[in-house]
Amino acid sequence: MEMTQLLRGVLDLAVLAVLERGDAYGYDVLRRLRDSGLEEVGDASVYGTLRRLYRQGALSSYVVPSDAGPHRKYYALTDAGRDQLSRALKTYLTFTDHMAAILADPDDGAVPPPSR
Amino acid sequence: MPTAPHALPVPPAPPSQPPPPPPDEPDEAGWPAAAARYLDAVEAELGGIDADEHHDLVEDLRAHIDALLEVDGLAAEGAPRLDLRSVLGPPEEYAAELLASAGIEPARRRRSFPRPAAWARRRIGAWVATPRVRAVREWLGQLGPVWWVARGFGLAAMLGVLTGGPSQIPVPDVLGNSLVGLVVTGGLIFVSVEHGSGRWRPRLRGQGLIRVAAGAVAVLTLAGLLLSSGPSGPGPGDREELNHLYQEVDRLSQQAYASMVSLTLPGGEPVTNIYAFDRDGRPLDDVLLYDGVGNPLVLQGSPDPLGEPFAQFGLTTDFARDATGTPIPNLYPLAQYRTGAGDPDTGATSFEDPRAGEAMVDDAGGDAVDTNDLQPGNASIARPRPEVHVPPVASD
Repeated sequence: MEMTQLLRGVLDLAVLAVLERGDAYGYDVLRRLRDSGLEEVGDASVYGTLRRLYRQGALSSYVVPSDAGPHRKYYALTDAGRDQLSRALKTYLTFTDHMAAILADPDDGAVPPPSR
Repeated sequence: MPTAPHALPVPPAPPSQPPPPPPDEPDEAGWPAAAARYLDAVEAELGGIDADEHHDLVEDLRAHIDALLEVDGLAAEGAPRLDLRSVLGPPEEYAAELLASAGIEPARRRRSFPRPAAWARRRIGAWVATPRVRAVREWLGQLGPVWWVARGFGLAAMLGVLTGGPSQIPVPDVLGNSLVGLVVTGGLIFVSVEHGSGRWRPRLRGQGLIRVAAGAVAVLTLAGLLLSSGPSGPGPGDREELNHLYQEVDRLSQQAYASMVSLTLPGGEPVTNIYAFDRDGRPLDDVLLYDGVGNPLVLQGSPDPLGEPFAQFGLTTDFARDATGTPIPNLYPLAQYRTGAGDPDTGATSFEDPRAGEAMVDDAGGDAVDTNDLQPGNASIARPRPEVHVPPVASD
């Protein structure tokens, strides 16, 4: 599965946003993304993104022992991660505004601006 | 070619029973053989990247396949055949995407000859994933936090042993100082727990090796401590102290034995005998003396067949004996004579007061009796008759 640069950047934002709602382990993050409809994203992309965000310091991790089954490595947002999330969100919203402006033709109004 | 998107079912809440056994297939891992092969293939494709990253990525995938298998096994009755190739894509592409999204440069792989280390690691990895080993690993995994604390303590104890601290339990002394030892132990335990729980993972070179080495050192130190010292066992430093104590006790007991004099005169001279007189100045024989709480008043130790009390004063003491032959040490006056002064032929011994001195005694008439008139050979003769001034005693 190939992913464009754009999609990779958005995936960072998506993963950070998922973790902002609550700490999660890898499979859990993947599931939440899929449940929200992000079907095009491959499993490898999510795990790799988690690794990269962790290395960049946006995430911390801890192990939770479980009674039945293996222990799970949970990821959590760090303060730097929260900063990155809010900046990325702002950038994304600005970008979609601009895209909406580009796509909306004032003459025929065929493409309505996307609702936010 | 993109892989077909698949919706991930919700993993079930942790079951109260262990998950059902894997399908009946000849496998070496508790996984279907195909799953183990897939993991191996991805691992090989990841090649020679940084060892820690390699480990983390492989472990991520292992956990992911575990989750997929578990969900697959519970969702479909019968023989579930999870086809990882169709779900995750070919291993080469999975590995490539993993590296790309993780921002890791793929290593230049030398596919020409398979590295034995990688092959060995894979075989060990497969063995470690067998059900029994896995069960043991998971059980041990429960001890996680306990192990982290024990690891910190073991490392501190090793530091204590290396710097020669006297005691290792409960807190090792580092550099011979218990306060330093307490601080170091607390610090190492904290670091170990932080590292074990994943909160502190500095990116050091060879981190995996450091982790394994620290664990091995801690285990060896703890095992050594537990084996070498029983419930009351001393550490290496303690032994030195004990030896000192033993020597000291020896020395003191020798001194004490040599000079077990219980009564001394104010000038320090030992009292070797007691002569008693009644209030009229008449000598009293065979007087038993006791102290205030009823202990026999013994002048020097307990006489025994081997030792001779007062021997250092050149005296031999002939203790009176009771019916069983036991010496009576507090029957005064003691029959004493100069060592070697006894006459072997007549059996008579001359008794001599070690503190020789003239004595005067009043007989009933008040006249002085010269002690030199007393006949020798009589055991009760040649006892001093000191002038006794009896203070007036108020009658009750």
